Amino acid sequence: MAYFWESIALKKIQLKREKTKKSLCRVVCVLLTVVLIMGAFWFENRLTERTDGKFRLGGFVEYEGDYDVLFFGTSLMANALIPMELWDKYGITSFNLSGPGNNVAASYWVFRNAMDYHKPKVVVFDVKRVEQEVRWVGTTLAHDTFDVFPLTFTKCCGIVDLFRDMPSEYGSREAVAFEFAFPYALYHNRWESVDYNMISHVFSPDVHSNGNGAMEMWNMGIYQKGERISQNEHSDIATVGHTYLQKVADYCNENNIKLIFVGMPQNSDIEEQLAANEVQLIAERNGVPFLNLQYEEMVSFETDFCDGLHLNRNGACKFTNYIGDYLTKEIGLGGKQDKFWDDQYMRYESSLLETMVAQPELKLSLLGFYNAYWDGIIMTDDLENLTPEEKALIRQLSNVTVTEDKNLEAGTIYMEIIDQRTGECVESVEFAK
Amino acid sequence: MLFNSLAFLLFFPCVVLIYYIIPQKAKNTWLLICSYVFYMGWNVKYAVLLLGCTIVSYFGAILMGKAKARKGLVLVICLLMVFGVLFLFKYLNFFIENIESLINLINPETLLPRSHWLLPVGISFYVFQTAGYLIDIYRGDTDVEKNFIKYALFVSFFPQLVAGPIERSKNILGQLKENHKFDFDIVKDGFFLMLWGYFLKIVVADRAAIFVDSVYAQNETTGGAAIVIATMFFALQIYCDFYGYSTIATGAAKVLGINLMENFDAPYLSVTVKDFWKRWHISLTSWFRDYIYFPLGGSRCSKARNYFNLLFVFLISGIWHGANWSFVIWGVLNGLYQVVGDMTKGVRGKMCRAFRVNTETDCIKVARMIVTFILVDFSWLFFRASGTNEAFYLVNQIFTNFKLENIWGKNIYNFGLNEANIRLLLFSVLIILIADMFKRRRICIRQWIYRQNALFQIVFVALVVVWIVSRGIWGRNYDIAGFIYFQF
Repeated sequence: MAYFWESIALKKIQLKREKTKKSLCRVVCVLLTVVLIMGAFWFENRLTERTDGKFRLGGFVEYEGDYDVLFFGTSLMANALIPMELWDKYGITSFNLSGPGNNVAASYWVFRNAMDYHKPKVVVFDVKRVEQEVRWVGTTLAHDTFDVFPLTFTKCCGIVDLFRDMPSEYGSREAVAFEFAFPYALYHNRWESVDYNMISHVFSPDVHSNGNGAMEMWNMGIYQKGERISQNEHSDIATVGHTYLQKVADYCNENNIKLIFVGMPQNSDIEEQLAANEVQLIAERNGVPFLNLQYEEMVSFETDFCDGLHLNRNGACKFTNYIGDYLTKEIGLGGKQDKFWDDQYMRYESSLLETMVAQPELKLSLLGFYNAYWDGIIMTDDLENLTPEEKALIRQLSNVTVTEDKNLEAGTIYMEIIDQRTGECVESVEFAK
Repeated sequence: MLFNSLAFLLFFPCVVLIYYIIPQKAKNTWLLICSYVFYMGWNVKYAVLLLGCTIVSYFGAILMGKAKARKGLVLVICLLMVFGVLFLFKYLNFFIENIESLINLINPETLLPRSHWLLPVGISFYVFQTAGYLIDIYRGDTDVEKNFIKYALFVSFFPQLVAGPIERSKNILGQLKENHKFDFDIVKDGFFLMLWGYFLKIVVADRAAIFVDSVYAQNETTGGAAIVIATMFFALQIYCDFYGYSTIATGAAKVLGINLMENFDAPYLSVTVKDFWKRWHISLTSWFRDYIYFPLGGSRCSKARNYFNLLFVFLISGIWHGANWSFVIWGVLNGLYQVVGDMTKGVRGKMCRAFRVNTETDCIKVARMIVTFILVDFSWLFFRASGTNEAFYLVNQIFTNFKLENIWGKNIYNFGLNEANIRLLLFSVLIILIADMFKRRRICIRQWIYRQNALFQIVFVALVVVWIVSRGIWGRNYDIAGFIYFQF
């Protein structure tokens, strides 16, 4: 009898063990499924993500050293400031975190996210779009700048703040916020255009540009300088843009960061000029220098713009030199030496040469000569083959000469690029007739 | 909130988690609260209507149970109240428009006032569900439910609240009385059903919708061929949209331990239109059959009366689907198909015998399926069109302005879907076709998957989840598409 009850008890224990084992197996299976799903999503995310922003700005997050200066703002700043030139000519380390389409609020949040990774000595802030009353930005361009930052509390705050007053006709705020938090929500349909490059990107390390955020423009046109109102005229209207400028000033003040506001050299309308001039009052109130470069003759509308608004590479070098001069003379930065940055400059210079040689027209190739360690020797059968833009540019460039050789075939424009340091010809290119 | 929204994907796991933690006594109350929260996600005011219908039918049933002599009167009053609500919100403006059109024949430029009430989501479904319960009580087919929580949950159960299946009280109320403990296999089965539903909805239906909407939006220039293709895609869209929703609803209910009725049974593999209507939106057609068709006499009467009953039921079905004459035409057309089919059955049989055609062969069955699909798809044109004018215009375009070149070769990619998407859509059609063929043979693919080893199931689930998310039509590049049947 005792044996009978004992065997029942044993069977009960056995059943319980089997049940526990089964439950454990199921828990493990569910966890494995979740892990596999997450792994597959990681793969899909890598496969479909846009790499433009990461390519341009990814080096910022991964860099382990310190930056002297960080630049924030719109595409005007992104095109105008070349960190590698700032390093080579002034020994100042910097990164250009400006982005196309950013308004002041967006630039503020890029700035705040950047501060989670690096606190520089100086912040240079472009005040373009300060007249705007909206926080929200066009999402396609904004992703370029924001996708590079991992999902953190600061990024979440920025997303919520930027899109809280976005009108519903531009999309659901929740959907937009979700896309910035998880860019895969925006890019998941890129499976339609998967190619070899996208597949090989999945398991390859991210490639970053050598430009430290600069977006050099290789285009040129002759423009007229627009009407300028008096620098003392301002709007007396406090805008949302002004509010965020004040926030930048407050943060820099609390964290001992030197702040400089910059009004970019450009053609702008009266409203923009009034709002930019208003910045002078904010700057004075906060003890912040304001370089209102719309009133400085530091760039030429004949040679330095690609569209009357954005500086091309030639103009960008002039702007960079201006900023570099200011930072060394007024702030006392500069003079650093660092092999890492020297090597990066060499890689940048190499890319620059490739870009110059790849240009279809002489005038575009000439944009690479400013600040460069190259001499350009142009040979043509007739000087009239050169366009007015090319002639205007060559007048500015002391390291470019033109010779007329009647022995050349009609319509020939041939250029040799000589390295000033070695005296060797590094490239030669013939432009199409 | 929509099933294919982030809000639901956060809402549902929370509901399930708490459901299986709380004691059995609190489960129904919890589900009732969640159901109202779910419904109020559209509009808080809608919940007032839902509660109103629930209270009317609850007390109506109790009254019928007590006052048996007057239960007919009670039934009529309750039905008038619940259907009155449906009429006010859904059909009032349609009624006024038609009265106005009639008056304008005598006195032109007459303008009658319109109501501006929004149509509450799912009103047609829960009104029919409560009406069905009242009629069942009247007939004595089911017992009166005295527990208000259980009854309110039966009416408002969130998986099937806004787009069916239209459940019978016997099925649901009985299950609400049972003890629902966590069962891994049942929850897994429910999850698999939901996955299938999401595939149908966000990968197939919403993708087909892009093509359909593009063609119908520019129907003046696309030509008849594009309209034909678009209407075929619409057949796919409405099937996958509604079947997908029903499957998600069934799956979600199953996760909670409740079994809902099957709402679709491979309808496009039907060999006759009559067969199609036994397999399409089964919960609605069975409701019409049990509460309208049979009481009218069904088929147990003269042929003429039977045909009248059939046409009447499909007329009502058309009206149920929408307050527009195009829906009425759609309904009547489907009724006519069946009437004509029945009338010609004898003649067709004689012809087959005369020509020695064996109707049981697979090729004849396939031919009949194709003919049935063409007939049904033609009626979908009236369903999809915004009104009778557009519908007849589209029909005219098909027969007088075919423009085959508009869809030939690469021109097919001019309607919102590129080559990759068209291929994906066609591949998905193949998957659905295979699944439906297995379903017709009563082979459950899910059961076959469960019999495989754990590693296979894990990899299968992971791949399917990622594939649905990556290939799904969601996000702002595609606006999240609602379910078609929500408008009813």
